[in-house]
Amino acid sequence: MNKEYLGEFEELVLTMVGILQEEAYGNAIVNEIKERLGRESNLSAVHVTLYRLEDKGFVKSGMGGATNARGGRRKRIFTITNAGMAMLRVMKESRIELWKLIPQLKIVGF
Amino acid sequence: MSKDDSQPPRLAIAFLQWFCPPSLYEGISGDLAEEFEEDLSKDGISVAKRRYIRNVFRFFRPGIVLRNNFVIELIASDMIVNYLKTAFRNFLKHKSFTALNITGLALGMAASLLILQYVKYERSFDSFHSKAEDIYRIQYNGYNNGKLSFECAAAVPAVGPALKNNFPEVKRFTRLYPVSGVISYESPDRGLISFKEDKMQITDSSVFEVFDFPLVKGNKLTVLEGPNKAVISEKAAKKYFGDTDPIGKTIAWDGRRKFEVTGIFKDIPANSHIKFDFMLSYQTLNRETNNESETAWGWYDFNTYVLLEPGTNVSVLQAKWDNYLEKTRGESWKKYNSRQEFILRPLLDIHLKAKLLQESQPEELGDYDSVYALTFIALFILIIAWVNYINLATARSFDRANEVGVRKAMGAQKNQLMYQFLSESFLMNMLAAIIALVIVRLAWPAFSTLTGRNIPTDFVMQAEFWIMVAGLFAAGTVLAGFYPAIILSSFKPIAVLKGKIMQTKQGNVLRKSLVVFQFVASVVLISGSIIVYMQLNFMRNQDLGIDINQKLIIKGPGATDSTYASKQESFRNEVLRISGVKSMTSSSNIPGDEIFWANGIRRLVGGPESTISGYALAIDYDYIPAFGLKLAAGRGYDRNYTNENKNIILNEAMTEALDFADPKAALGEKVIHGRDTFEIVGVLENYHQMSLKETVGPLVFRFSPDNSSFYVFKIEGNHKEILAAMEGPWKTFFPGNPLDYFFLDQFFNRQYEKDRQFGNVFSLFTGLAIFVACLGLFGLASFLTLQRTKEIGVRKVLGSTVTQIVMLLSKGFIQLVVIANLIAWPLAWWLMDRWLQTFPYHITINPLLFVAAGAGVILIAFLSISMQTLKAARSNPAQTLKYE
Repeated sequence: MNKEYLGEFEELVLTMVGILQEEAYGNAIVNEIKERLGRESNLSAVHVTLYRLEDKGFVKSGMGGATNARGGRRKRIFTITNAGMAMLRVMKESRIELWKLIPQLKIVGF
Repeated sequence: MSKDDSQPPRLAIAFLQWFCPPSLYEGISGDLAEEFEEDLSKDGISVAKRRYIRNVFRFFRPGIVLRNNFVIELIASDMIVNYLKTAFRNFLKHKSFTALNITGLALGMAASLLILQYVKYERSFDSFHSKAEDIYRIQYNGYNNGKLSFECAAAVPAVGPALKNNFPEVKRFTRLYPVSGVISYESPDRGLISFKEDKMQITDSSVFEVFDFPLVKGNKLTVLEGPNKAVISEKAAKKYFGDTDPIGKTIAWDGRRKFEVTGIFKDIPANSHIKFDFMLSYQTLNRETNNESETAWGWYDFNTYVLLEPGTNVSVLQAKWDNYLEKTRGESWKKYNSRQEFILRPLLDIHLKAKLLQESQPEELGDYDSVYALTFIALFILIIAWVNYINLATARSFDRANEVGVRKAMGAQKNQLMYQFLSESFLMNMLAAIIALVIVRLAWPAFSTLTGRNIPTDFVMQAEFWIMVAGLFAAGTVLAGFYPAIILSSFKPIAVLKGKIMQTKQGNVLRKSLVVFQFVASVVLISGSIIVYMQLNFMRNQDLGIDINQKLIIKGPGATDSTYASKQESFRNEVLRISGVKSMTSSSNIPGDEIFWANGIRRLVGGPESTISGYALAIDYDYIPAFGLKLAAGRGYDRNYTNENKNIILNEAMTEALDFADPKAALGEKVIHGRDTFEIVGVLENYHQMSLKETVGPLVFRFSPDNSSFYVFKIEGNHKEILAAMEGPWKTFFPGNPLDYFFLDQFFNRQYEKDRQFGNVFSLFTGLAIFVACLGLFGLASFLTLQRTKEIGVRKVLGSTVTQIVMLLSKGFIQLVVIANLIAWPLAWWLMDRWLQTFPYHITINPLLFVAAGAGVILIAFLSISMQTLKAARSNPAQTLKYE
């Protein structure tokens, strides 16, 4: 595996960007995480993570259209790059590889 | 609910806008607004507002805030190429100004680099010992009758053990007892090799534990254990043994004492305050002196060093130690009405701060004040160069005003313009720094000779040197560049482009005061260096009371056996037959050679209660006539008297110290010197045994021709021929002794060597400072004259003469230089008077000297501006007025 490494939260956010497609912006991701995983996340943390992912080249961003709902401000829409997709795939596969190595049906007793 | 109420809190928005990078602001504030609206509809206004504020604060984190800088750099770097390009074009356009500035800055930087390097070296003394911070030397202060009578670098031998055994803070002590003599080695293939060695130390074996004197051969724990062991330097090993291994070989000291060579140490680095080529084991001395060299409290010849536990509070230890001394030594002090102080002095302070008796390398000692004076001079030169830059840049701001106006009209911000002018100063300083480095490299050998310090050139490889270069460069860029940048960038574009730009009064005042500052510094430096030279001349030409001219000195062979006295007499008779040799005398010390032989002296009857310390010279019958010394009373030693060794001669200072009413009253009286009683037969007028940097102290002259370290010949004619003629008898009477010779006047004057070097360095940098200041004045004059070209043309048309115009143009500058003089004189007087006070015999400052220095500076200043003013005054008005 290459040197780039994704933290757990980074991976989660990156996945959400992949899921939300054109609707991937800060607030939407916070809501999506809450909806799908029931996990509270902080808006600023999500933003910082997104910028970090952008630095690493896993997502790219551009300004979307304005809506009235946001006081006329445009959304910064993030889209996942090929590198980001590849990264997610590699991580998923390596997890499965590792998962397979755990002996299944083992009774864990006290 | 009003519209305003349903908005997020304004302060929070402003805060967000303030810290948030502009590129991210819209996305973030949008998201926050969206959440706010959601919260508003779900939880109401107050919850929504609170959450909004909390969220804003959560965004105030490095991951967001730090993205700011990146953005600014991006913008500036776009322009940097342009800034540098404009700067270059500007430099090329005004070549002479550029050259003036760069020369000044480069000289300033080079001077400071040279001096700082020198200062660093001076401060590096003894720092090569890994435990240097915890090593202290014991200074011995002797008091008689409650008065301080001497401060000595060498202590008594009992001090070291007393400290170590009674105070746990003292980890180790070591003593070094300097000795000299002829060392010889009987080589199986090259015959007898012998040299006179001045730098030998009898040392405790703990010397290797306290200091870092690495051994090349031998085990540091054992090499100096036991009597008659010697450890020699690599240099000495080469000298005596060539390529053969010296370990186990036997060397002889003055032919009698034999030593086994047990180890070799690396040559002592140049920046050590104590130097030697031979270490002889301490137990040798203990055996010969019957252990006196462990227990004596009166014999002070031992440079004693202690190694303390790290973190010891020295003043506490000193207090405890003083108490201990009072308790154990108090009674014997009372007996002699004297007192002894043994003070712990940091090893690292010795080189620059200690000036004691019996220093190991007195002529190499540095001087704290001169080192700092030099640092100040370096700083002055640098500031003068920076002032030049500031002055020229602001004076020429008129030239650049249009450029600034256009740039501002095109949308340049003030801070962008500041960046522009700072990058100009950056470029200027960079070019100057490169030239400065070249100058330093080229001037280094000459500078080394001038300072008399052989400073290693490896500083180029040291990070510290480059940090210094970078520091000077950065300081120059900012300090010199900042003010012009502010001035230039604050021009109002409308006024400038209309051509309504005026020189501000403020700027003029600043420029003038900077010029005054430059010339204050120049005048102080120039009068300072004149005074330094006058004092040096004074000391050299003062009548010493002793004739040191035409004296050839040979280091005496020293007494080896009972036949020495007769051998010496026969040698004397032989040598006096050589034509050109007028007289010969032998003595233990010669003028300019520090006396180490001291015994307590007091009168047999009457006189002061306590014993005073009597430094003593051993002389023979011919000493007094040979040196042309004058007797204040009585007679000199004479061959017609027998038992001269029961008699003694004093100098006048000694008769005063012993409370004799006058020299005559002392004749026939008895004194006890050391353990013996002597009758006073003569009193010599005071003369300078040492340089004029020291007061004439009380001395005694004992008759002891055996004790002759030096043979002094008064000669006339070619010394080479005389020496050749002497070689025969020398070899006959003192075989195996090297014939080392030197001249007394040179030997005596080497005491002023350090002062002479200081004077040279001081005047060199003074010259540089004045040169740089005049460069600035020249530049300023030529620019301001250029500005008044038209005015001059009109004046000429109306009938002004060349002289009138030159005077008109020069007046302003000369006024400034005169003001500078008035400020500089008292300052220089105060500084130099302080310096002179450090000499017991010194000149008084003649006020006319300042006038002369001032007149000189005014003349130089006038010459440097007159080139420009004359040119302008002579120009043809028809040409200058032709263009509009």
